[in-house]
Amino acid sequence: MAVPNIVSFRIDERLIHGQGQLWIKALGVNTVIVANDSASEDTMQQTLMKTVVPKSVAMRFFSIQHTCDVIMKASPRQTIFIVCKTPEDARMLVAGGIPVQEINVGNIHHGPGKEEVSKYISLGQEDKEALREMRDKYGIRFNTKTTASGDDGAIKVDLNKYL
Amino acid sequence: MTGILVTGHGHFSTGILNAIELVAGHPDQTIGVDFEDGQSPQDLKSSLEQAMESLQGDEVLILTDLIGGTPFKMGAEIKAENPSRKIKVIAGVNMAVLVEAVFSRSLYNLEELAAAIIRSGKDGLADLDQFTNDSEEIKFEDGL
Repeated sequence: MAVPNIVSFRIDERLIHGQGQLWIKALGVNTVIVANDSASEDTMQQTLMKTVVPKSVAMRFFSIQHTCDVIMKASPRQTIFIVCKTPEDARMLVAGGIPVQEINVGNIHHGPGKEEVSKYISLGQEDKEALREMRDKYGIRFNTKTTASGDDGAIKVDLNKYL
Repeated sequence: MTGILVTGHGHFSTGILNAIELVAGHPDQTIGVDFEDGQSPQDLKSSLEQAMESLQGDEVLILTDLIGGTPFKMGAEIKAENPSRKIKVIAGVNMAVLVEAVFSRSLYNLEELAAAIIRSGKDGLADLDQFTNDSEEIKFEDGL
């Protein structure tokens, strides 16, 4: 079985949002998988995400488990952008067999007890544990690019320093 | 880089530029000129001429709120009176237009950029209900 062509894997608390369309455009993918249990059952969330993605791009709203179950069935013609909400969801996807080597850590919102790592990323204990496990057990690398084509001048952050 | 000059009735231009900063950060080579209550068309034109001088480069995109309105007309006069610069005057500007203009201006020449922002502006005007219809969904028969 061919390895699915995952062009990018991103963690973003907002999943697909206004700026998400710029990622999809810049990556040139034809398939977006939103891997999120709640979005997979919520047509309103799905509709709002569809509004910012061109009609020529296939949108899939899968639960975490379903994503793991079906990912190997992707067509060789599919170029895929996967987005999930939290490091813990990413950890479950990686543990569930999503073939990925590098993860883009986009937005993780600030909250009580979280360490602010950059303007866009704040890490709580649970986030750190999930990221650490992905790095140590599965050899995942992390980047913090804020746009698909590079970054908009945001300071590069080495997340490993915080784990 | 193509300069962007936004002008419209009331605080349209400074308002929409304020909004764009939340999405795209502070754009370079971009100026807003308001046409405020009590100003004459000539006042607006002078302000636009001043703004034009502070924009560098040959190419300028003049983005206006309403076709046929005074800001649009003054934009047209500026274009006619500055044959040495490449100027496009666009009407009916919305957020989608401005986002596209700011993000795409390094990729296109002025002619292409004008076409791209008009497309984005039209696509950006939409009814929520058009997205709830799944019949047009893209399928991969041999995949996901």
